[in-house]
Amino acid sequence: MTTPLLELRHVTVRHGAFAAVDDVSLAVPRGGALGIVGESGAGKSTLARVAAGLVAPAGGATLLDGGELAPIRRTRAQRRRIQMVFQNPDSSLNPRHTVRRILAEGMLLHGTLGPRPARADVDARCRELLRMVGLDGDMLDRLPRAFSGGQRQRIALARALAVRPDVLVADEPTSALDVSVQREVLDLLAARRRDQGLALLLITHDLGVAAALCDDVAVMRAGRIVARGPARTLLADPPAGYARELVDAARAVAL
Amino acid sequence: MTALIRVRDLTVTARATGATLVDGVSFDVEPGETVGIVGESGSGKSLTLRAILGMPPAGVAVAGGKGGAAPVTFDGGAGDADGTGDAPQARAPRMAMIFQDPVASLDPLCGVVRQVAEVIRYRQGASRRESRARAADLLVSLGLPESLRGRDRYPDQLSGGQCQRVGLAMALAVRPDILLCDEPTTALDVTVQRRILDLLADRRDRLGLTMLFVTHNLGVAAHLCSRLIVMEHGHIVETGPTARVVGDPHHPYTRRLIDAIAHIPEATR
Repeated sequence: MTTPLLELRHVTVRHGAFAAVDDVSLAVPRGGALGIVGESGAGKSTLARVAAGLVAPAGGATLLDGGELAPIRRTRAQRRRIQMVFQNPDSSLNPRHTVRRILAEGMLLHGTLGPRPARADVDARCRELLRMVGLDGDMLDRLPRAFSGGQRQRIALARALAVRPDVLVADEPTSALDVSVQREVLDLLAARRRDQGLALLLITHDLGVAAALCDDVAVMRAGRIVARGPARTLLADPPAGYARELVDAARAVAL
Repeated sequence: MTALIRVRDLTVTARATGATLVDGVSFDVEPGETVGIVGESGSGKSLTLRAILGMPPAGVAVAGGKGGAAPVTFDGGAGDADGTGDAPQARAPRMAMIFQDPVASLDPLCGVVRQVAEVIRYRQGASRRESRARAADLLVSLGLPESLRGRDRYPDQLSGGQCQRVGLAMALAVRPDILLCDEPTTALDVTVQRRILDLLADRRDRLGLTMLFVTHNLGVAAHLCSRLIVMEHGHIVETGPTARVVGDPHHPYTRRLIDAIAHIPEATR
């Protein structure tokens, strides 16, 4: 059996007596995509934050290439390999920083372009990143407020991709976006998977979004995974119980 | 048949910049119809609804067509869509509205039975005691716990779905002819959304309500509405019976909206 790229083993997160995440294990293979679906309060985002090293679990471990990571104080090299995109680009981009600074900061910190890259090289890479996410390369001196919500989310995505991560943890990356813009971001993520072998841990409440991007899906409720399997079969024919209730409710308003 | 609501050349502009936010929109709502207005951010769908309600947000100007014709008329008479409140109220149908954020639309310092009872007392002229009993009856009939009859609850003691049921109770307490809904299930989880939509459809059918339903979610609109109005950048780009608009969209924007939806895989068997 091959070692998964990213693995969570028996992760539990407590807030006092309440278990937000309750003994959850999951694995994302190299280049694979796992979707975590569920409703508010299921523990999806908390789980994503554990994987990204932003929340320390009360129990369990996060492993990268089979090696256990520290819960929070990870090495710079480890942090580079797991990048995160958040739901709300307005609060995840510094409003006083130019797009250049937003994109370059991680690259310089992690030495993605070598120890002391020339400014021209940094700019060239920033422009390349902007074009990769479908934005104009000449926008480097703009502040986030000059962009629409969908464009800002693409900048957040470009920032995450700038350091060439192995896995992207995306927490509701399209939930704040209009449906036509959502489609653009989904296509963009699918292209990064295809072209760079980027692995994905995708948190979403939208079953259609999970189906569009993920090989496998896990359904969470009240801190636990209650169903999991290949996206096609699990969502097309969910097992009786909560997973079926969730799929039926979503299907009721599907076109 | 006379339209219950007649919108003609409705134009909404931002006072500060002069930007046109809703640009000459016209449509009718017949009695008993459920009409959905669908569009993305900035399409002007919510502004249109607020103009019909006569409560446009601060900082915008509402106008009609040439010669100062009223943009919104009700059953033949003019409403107070300019927001001044001096138009003939008597001709307007009773309107009630439910909002996107069920928690924020309730008074956090007032028990929910009391909030609904206030509306009943004012609109139905019942006594204090009678209003409370009717409010509790209404809330229980909409799926809130029986225990409300004994002890009132504050909004923060209820879930989001329960608060939206309270919002619906307050709207129904007005005994409206027309129910205006602005993204009433957008903030809710999908299983809760389903229950609220079922409840809305049930009350509409039982009470013969006319509904005008604004949403960004084409699927939700198609589920509930008999006719759809698709808006983009302040214009109506397409309108028609739901099955036709969804099955055979005529406008490229409608086609794009439908194509952009991420589908749940169908069972192959």
